[in-house]
Amino acid sequence: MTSSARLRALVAFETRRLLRGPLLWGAAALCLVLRLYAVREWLPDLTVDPVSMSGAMLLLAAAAMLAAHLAASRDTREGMPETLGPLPGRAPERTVAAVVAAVAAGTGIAALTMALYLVARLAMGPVAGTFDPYEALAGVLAVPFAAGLGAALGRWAPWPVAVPAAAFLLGVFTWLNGNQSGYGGWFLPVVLFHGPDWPARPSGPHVLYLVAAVALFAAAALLRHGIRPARLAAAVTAVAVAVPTGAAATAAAPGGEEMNPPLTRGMEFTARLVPARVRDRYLGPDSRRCEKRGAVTYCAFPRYVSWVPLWASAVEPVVEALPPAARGRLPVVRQYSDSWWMADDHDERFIGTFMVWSRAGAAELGYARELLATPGARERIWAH
Amino acid sequence: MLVIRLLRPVLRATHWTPLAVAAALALLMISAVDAGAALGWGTALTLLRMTAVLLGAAAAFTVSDAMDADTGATPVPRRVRQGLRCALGALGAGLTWAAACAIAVARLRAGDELRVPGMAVEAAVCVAVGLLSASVAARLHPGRVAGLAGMGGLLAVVSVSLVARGPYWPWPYPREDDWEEVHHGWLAALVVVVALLGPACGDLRSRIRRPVRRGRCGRGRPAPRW
Repeated sequence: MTSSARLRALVAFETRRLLRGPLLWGAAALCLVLRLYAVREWLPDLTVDPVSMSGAMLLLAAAAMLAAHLAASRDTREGMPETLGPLPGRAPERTVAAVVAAVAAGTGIAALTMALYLVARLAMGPVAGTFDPYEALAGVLAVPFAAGLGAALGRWAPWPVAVPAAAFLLGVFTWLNGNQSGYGGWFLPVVLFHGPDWPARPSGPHVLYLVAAVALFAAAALLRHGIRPARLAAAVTAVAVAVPTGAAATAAAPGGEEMNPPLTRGMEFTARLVPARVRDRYLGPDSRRCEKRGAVTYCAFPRYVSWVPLWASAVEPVVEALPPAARGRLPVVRQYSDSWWMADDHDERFIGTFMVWSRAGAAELGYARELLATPGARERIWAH
Repeated sequence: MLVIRLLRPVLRATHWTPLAVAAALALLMISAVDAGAALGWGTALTLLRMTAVLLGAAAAFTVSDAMDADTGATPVPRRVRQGLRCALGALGAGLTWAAACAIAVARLRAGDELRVPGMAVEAAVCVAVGLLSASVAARLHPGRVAGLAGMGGLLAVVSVSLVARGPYWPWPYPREDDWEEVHHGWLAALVVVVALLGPACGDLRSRIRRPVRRGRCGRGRPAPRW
């Protein structure tokens, strides 16, 4: 058997083994179910949904790291070195097979999970927010990142404790990096926490960083078997791509002083303290699109206009209960941003609504409608 | 008496490296995060909780015994041997967590408080769940790799508990009002998990079955002795 045929057979074997086992599929199912359960009460906002799913993907990433580590270190366990000694395929081929299979299987299952999540969210109500495909891709690529890391550890540190230790370190740094200032920055596979009104994340450079990191881990795993020019060149190229893109992403990311301007006691939160990138989008005069439905005007940010019918269905029962004379002086329903509302102007002309809305309002609305339909209810309200 | 005599051989046979590595890592992290400044209570709380999960995953490796399948009839029941391993693993993990907690409390900002007894129960449950997952896996596949089931089981249980919505969330902050009720629940969970460890450490069912040949009258005859 030629060496390329051997390699193909090994890759096919490892991939089949990973896809038939319950580890990756079980972790993917758990991620999907838990994430959908956590967001089932909220309307889909595509600015933040892929980011929150990428946090849930960390579970699948841990499973992929475990599977890759076990596959790459399999020939160091239980008498295998003696058994494999006389076979024609050598350790580098086994490493390549383990890495390729783990990365491919992990990416495929992660992509399927992310796709299913987004489709489920689209079906959960009127969609708002801007969808960044690179953000969804970055969430998916966190899994092959972990798989590559697991395979590299499988060759350099084949002891079983390497996986829990690496998972712990990644978990701690990812959590400490919350609010985007901490250890590791955008060199970590997943950066948690995003607000719908935060400045845009550097998802394009991050995708590039993740791809380069996977290549780097694969080259590092192979370098365990000796330094060859091809492996060394691949590793150096991967480093040359990964480090600048990671640093560029960390520099371009919202974080630190931009998001947390130093406030002294008694200082008012004015528009000057809002990051310049988002000031006009949320505080400027043209930031909202207004439409009139019945007697009430609704002003929403351009990407959230699809939620106006739901706000209207919450406000209309109250408007219908008012005496006709009062219907001329109704306040405007105005959307405020979650993070920067303090710098905006508020007065009794406006009723504020924010950038989340629950899906479960139907029960309360139905009750309100029934209450208002009972005879005498309107007269009692008008008497006030 | 028997347990005392088993202590030294089991101590020598147990895999201590994973727990030692995890202990070093945990103590390093709790000392090095925000080094030079005082530790905020939120950071200390989450770090100690994550340390408990790591120690549960590492203590799980003490349960796996590579000779388990070959150790057939012994005068000491398997429950005693495995129970001793679980107890030693729990002791090692517990001592490490206590050391990490002491460092965290010493580094805490003035005026902050960590409610240590409740957090200790949480850590005990994490370690117990790790030991239980690994004991169940060790029944199916003896060997060092079975210890990794500790990490898998623990991550699954923790992620489900993080998403659970109900009147009580399992991971409250110390300043919340329902801290006491939630930790009564944690104590109940600890009792349940430790009780489940009993059957998990029990004897493996014998895999040798005597074949029975049925004659024409329908009555079986025992297999030949050779």
